[in-house]
Amino acid sequence: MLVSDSETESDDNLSKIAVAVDGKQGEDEAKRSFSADEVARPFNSKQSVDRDALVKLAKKYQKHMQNKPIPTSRLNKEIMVVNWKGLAKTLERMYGQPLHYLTHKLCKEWDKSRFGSKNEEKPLNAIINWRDAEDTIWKVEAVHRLCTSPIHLAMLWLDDPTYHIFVNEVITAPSSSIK
Amino acid sequence: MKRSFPWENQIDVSSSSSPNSLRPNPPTIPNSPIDTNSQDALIRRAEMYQDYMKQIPIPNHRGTMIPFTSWMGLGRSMKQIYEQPLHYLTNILLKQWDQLRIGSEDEYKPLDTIVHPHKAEATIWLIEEIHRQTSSHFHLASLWKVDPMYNGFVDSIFPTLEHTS
Repeated sequence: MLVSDSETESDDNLSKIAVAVDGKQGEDEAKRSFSADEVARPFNSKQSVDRDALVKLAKKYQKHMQNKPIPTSRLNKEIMVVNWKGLAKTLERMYGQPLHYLTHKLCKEWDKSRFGSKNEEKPLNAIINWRDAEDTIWKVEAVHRLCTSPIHLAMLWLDDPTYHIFVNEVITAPSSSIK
Repeated sequence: MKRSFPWENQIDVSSSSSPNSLRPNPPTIPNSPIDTNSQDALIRRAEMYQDYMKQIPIPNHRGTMIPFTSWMGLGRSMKQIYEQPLHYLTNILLKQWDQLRIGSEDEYKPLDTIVHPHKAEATIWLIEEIHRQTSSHFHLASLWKVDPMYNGFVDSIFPTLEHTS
């Protein structure tokens, strides 16, 4: 039961991530992005990935995210919260900040974890107070900005062809807060 | 996980009555035999688990400052101090967050120098409430099916108050 072998842990991680990727196959969220030096490009196969380049990109991404301060004052504007992914996008728009790749990933998992529950059809704010929901997102975001290892992030990206959607929001236009 | 948690060997709880009348009576969570109905049994087990977790109220009086060097360590301390289990999904997330730090510049710093203890604890309770209130037992069963060690993250309903230090 104890996982003391780091390789075993790594395998566990990858197998769980593979399940997550399967869940995403049906979603077509790819955005077209302009070619540029630092633009992250989607890839079809692990073998075609330059791992060193991916780690370098993850370091740049993590450095950018780490430097963004979490908003200290809430806008206190009531938010209609139907699901977590929607809330994350609303907060990005309201506060003019991108949320971390891992925060988006967790929101997707939280939405997925509701499928089949007894209150599945209810909007999320019928169950979780919208202020608590927003507070949760920012607290989780702080963890992801402050505590994430770029090497670990690159490993996750190896199994997620959609990671570039979130990276491009941060690195291609670091000086402007579009959307 | 490099050492056993105190509650690790107490996954199944007897149906004896609870000494604490403020706490709802724990259900019996049966071990499912491996047979053609094992998937149904797993779903029923997950349903009993989720229904029970949903009933446990999040503690509202929190003033303790809990020092911690890891997320799982903080989770462990919270269970002992508040005498409550944490949800399987919360335990998994705390493990993932510890793994997330491997290879970072701050990897060997105590975690409470990066995230303030009050904020860290508040974060865990917010997440715990989400897992207790919104999780589907079908989703849980599907995760448990592919996680042979899921029992290790399903806390005993009455965590042992051992001196682990």
